[in-house]
Amino acid sequence: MNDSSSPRSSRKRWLPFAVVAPAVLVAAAVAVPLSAGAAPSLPEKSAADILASIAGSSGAVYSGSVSQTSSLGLPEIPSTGSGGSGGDDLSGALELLTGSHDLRVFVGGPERSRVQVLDTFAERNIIRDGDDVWTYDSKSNEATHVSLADHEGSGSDDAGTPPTPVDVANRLLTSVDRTSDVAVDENVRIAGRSAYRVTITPRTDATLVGSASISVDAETGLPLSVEIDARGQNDPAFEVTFTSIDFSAPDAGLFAFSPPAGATVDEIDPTKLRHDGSSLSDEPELTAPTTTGEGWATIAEIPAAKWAAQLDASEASPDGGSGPGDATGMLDELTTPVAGGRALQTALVSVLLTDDGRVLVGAVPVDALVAAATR
Amino acid sequence: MSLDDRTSAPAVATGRSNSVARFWNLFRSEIRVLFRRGRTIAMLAALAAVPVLIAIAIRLSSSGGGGGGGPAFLARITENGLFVSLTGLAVAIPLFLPLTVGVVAGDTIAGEANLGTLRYLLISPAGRIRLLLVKFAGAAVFCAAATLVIVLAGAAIGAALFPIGPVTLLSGDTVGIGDYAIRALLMAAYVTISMLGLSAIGLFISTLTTVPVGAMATTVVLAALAQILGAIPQLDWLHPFLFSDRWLGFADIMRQPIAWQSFQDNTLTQAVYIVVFGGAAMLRFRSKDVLS
Repeated sequence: MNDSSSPRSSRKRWLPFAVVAPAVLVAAAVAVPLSAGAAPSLPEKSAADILASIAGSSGAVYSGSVSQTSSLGLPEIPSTGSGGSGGDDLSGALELLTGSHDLRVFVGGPERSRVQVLDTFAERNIIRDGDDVWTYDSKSNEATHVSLADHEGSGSDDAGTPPTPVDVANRLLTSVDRTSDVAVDENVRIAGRSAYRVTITPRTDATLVGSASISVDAETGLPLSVEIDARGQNDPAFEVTFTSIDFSAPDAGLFAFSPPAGATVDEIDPTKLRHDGSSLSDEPELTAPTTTGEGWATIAEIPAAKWAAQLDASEASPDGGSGPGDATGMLDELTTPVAGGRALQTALVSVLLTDDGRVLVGAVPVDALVAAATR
Repeated sequence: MSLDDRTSAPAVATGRSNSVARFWNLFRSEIRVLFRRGRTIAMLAALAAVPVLIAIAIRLSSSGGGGGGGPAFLARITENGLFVSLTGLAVAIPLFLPLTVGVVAGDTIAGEANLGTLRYLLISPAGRIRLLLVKFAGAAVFCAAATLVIVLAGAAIGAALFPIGPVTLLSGDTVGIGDYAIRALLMAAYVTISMLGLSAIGLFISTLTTVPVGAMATTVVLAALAQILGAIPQLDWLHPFLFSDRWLGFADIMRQPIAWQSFQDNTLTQAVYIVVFGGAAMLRFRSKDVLS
């Protein structure tokens, strides 16, 4: 408590502190994740064993936080737009492909799960309890209910919820074949767990996908992180990873969902959907998309009366508004004109809408799509 | 305080109880002065007016509720008056709360210096650090009072103008009023903690000047600046370090189960700001020439 110093010496005393303190802060912020990322030592395993262990994790119960980031080169679509229905599905799905999201996942067994997308002042939920699947969107206060009682398959193909690491890893596994190099990387630490990391690299140069990595929990076989890198891009094009995970059974009450009073409830009967005119199996256009190329460079071609009809429908919907939710306006904004149509190029996937109404999709550059379209 | 704990236990014991007693005496008088001041009462009244105006405006405009748009929870108010508190908090956090907190925190030392009362407060030889602690504690009490005023005024006006009942959380689950009351208090705690970092910044700035208005304005401008920086996506590497970054995270209390992560992160962020700027204020103030 030295009260008798000159102003100059007092300034000398506190100024360094003001400089040092933020530096310490930054150092701490950098050092903490680094020390958490030191490679743990685990018994050696082959890539095949690691990938096979994923199958053993299907009965796992856990709750965890997940962060998902995409940098696909799409423009950011604000998630704070007005919450509508119908035509908003497209922008809702696109919104999940841009920017980053925080999710919470609760799994209480193979048929009981709850995924929450945590938005600012809002939340999107998808809850499965046995045969009942609920979705709830707090922004629009809308719930939908699907009963899977006599409906085979997962059925919960909801565009409003991003995939969990388990989903993505399973999907990725189907593309692991003779077209790819599979290698075991250095072990990683994710969400406080030791994990094996398997990297899958396409052998062909014709694809936009640079490599894909799955990190698998050493103890339970649960995929903890999935990362897809694009060629010529430093940031992962798509990444979904647990930031924390707890392998204890979540509270059973979380899965017993009933829609709140005042919410709009949309009951979807999957059996009716099948006999409806709009059912998928009756659509001749979607029966067999023709494919060209193979492996990672596969190009799918859809003779697309279907998407044109959908666009017309969403254009005519009373939703109105020329905001970002407007499907056609957004399509024009996203795509660029190329020879013979309009193309959408993202870091991982290209889409070509030809003038004669076909759609070509593939994890290849747009040039390859244009070439395939004229073939 | 700066007493050495380990040297002579009995002497320290009496010394500590003595200094604790002095702290409490000073703290009590600080609280009395702060909350008897007309300016403080006017600011609390203005904060209470935020939810009240929101509720009246919605009541008068229409009972149909206006779809999306507007501040958070606004559309829910007509269904359940308890949401007025939350809308009030969401509206007050970006501007009104930092404004009032900036005024109180900026005034702490500079106000006394300006009135010429600072040197009388510092007559006791070890008084400087204690005075800072008391001033910060007073500002913290104001933060809590300001937040509670919004929550309570919102609940009261909401109950008066709209039906109240079980509350729908963001996750779609419905909880009873008792559960909601606990969550409302947690949200008030969250918002109070959110304002502590700014209070520490205001306290530090207040030690730099004898012009209280300058300290107040600087503090409020810093609060605005932090939020502007927080709104620029290109600076997202900077965002976790901003004291305003998690201000809106209080809504995580309204999830099922409560998402505690943001509560922890926010508390940590504010604690770091308190340590850094509180420490800077101490270093600055203990060697400052007090001339008035």
